[in-house]
Amino acid sequence: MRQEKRSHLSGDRRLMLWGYGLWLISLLLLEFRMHSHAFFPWDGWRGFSAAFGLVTVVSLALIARFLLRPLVMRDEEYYDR
Amino acid sequence: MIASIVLPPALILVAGALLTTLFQGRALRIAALAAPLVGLLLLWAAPEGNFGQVSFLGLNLLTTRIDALSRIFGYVFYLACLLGVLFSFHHKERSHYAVGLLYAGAAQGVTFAGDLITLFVFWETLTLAATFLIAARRTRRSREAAVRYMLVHVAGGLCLLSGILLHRSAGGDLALGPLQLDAPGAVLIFLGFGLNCAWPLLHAWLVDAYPESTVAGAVFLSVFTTKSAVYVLARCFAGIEELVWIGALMAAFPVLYALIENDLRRVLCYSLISQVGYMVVAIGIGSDMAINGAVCHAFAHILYKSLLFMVLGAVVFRTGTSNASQLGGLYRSMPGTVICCLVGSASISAFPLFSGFVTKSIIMDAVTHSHRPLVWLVLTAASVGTFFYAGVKIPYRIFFGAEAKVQIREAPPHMLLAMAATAFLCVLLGLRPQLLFGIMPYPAVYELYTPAHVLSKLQLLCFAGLGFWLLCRWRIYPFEKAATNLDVDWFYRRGGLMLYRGVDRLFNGLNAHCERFFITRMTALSARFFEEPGGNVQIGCLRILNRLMGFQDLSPGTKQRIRQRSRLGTYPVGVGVLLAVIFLAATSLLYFIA
Repeated sequence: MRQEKRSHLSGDRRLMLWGYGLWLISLLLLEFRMHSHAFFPWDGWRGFSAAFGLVTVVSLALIARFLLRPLVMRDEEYYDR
Repeated sequence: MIASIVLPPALILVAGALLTTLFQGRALRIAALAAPLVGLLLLWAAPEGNFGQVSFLGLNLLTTRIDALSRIFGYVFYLACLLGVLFSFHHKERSHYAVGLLYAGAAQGVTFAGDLITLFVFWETLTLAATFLIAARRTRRSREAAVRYMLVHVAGGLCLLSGILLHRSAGGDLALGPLQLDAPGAVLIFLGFGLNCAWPLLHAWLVDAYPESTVAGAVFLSVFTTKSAVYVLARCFAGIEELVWIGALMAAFPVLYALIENDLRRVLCYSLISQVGYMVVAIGIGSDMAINGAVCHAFAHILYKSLLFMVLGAVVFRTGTSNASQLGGLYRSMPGTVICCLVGSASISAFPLFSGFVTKSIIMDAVTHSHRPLVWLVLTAASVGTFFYAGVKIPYRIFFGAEAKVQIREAPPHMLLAMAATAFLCVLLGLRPQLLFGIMPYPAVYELYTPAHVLSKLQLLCFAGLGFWLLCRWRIYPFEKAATNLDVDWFYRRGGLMLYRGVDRLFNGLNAHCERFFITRMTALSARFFEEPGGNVQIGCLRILNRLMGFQDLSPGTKQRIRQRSRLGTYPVGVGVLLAVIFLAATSLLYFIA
């Protein structure tokens, strides 16, 4: 019974992921129908915002986890000692 | 006639604060709600102009200056106060409402002050009221945080006061208006404002103190101190280039801290600094569009940040914790709170149709038109980070993510009502930005919902969402741990303690040495010396003489004899003659020299 419930949920999850994937692809494709003013050099690059969002979020997480955290993280009672 | 009916907004809220001390129960809550409501209506009806001029110590002070800039801040401060009071309805004690209204009243005092002296009085009232709000949680940590908050802000207030006095003594005008950073007075005023604005390196008080307050106290605190500082910066230092870089740094660095922080109320505090960074950048640019952007962003930010603090407050109220590692899966227990949280998260992440999209877009357009590509990139990266920690992390770690660890009830009705009203305003401003455009300092209409702009924003955020999913899949995220993350406050919390210990060791060590030397050793030595002073002087002189001439030191027997002679007064005649000759030789020498 429990197994069934889990597989049902994972099926929903898979569907959501496929839906999200399709949404992302449609966002990329829609850009071919858009024309905007170019203020900065990258304004003409197709998919710049998508790539910027993806790369930035991964970079921020990596910097936060592997650079900042070892540098500043101390135990919870640090200031109480 | 008109001047007689325009009451200073600060006075209305302070009177409300006094009034709340007379009531209890339902009357207390109604009185607390009535004060900001009446104030809001009066401000809406009030014309522009200068009111409430007071002469004090030969100075002409202006307590109420109503113009487009002060009016929009006045509106949002009243709104935030109203929603904060509604959210506080579980508080039975009068002091909470009184201090909350006093705090909001002080912020209104700063907003409508027409001169630097009035501004300073309300500036310090803000500090005082905020200190009580922080300490109101009545835990050891909150009391300590309140004391630290007060010390930091008193230092900032003194910096501001010194600046005002220097500015005045250099012949400057006390009227609150544009200042240039060309004199020490203006620089000190700039720094005084910067401390309340939580500039980088001056920001740690915010993250240290706000999470330690009560759940309703945090809603008040998130609104007034920083945004009144944004207001005075916009009033006095618009177009100062330094602010662009201060703001960019301010928007960027808290993002990394917010990502690793486990306490979600602290995450909101870092987020607050980051969002204020956008406003500071816009003030630094100083164009009409940028100032409109800064002011509108302050308006929207006050609402969505209050909403997120309310959501966290409701969660803390029910679960007793705001630690991400102890939360998760609450979406079934708190469905109303989840919806409000998602609205707040969408607003702060600047999703189209929510308030943040409108106001952040104005700022980004102003940055674009001022041709600052690096600042644009920094702010865009910060907005991606904002989406990560506020748009995804907060709802994910509280309501989804893990299985529920505790069974709890939905937030109380008054909290839900306050959250729903705030969420409604966030959506309303996103759908009808014209409402904001109508009260901006510089009249304008911006076309923000262009297909290209909306698509670019959606790509940015949705692909950031893909990044989040990948990070979870690669097991890089979540990485928050129950820990203390060191920040600039280390310098006065640990550094101050080390300084205290160092000074303690130095001066108390010196004190102990002095006591040993003067009280113990010198007393013993002088007792021994004065036991036989004549003999001891002779022994001392002879020892020095012997050492200089290279002779052997005096034998114990000789010392004994000298002491005995001295005690009995039996010196040989030769010694007396020798002393007389030395005395005569010395006087002859002195005579010839003179």
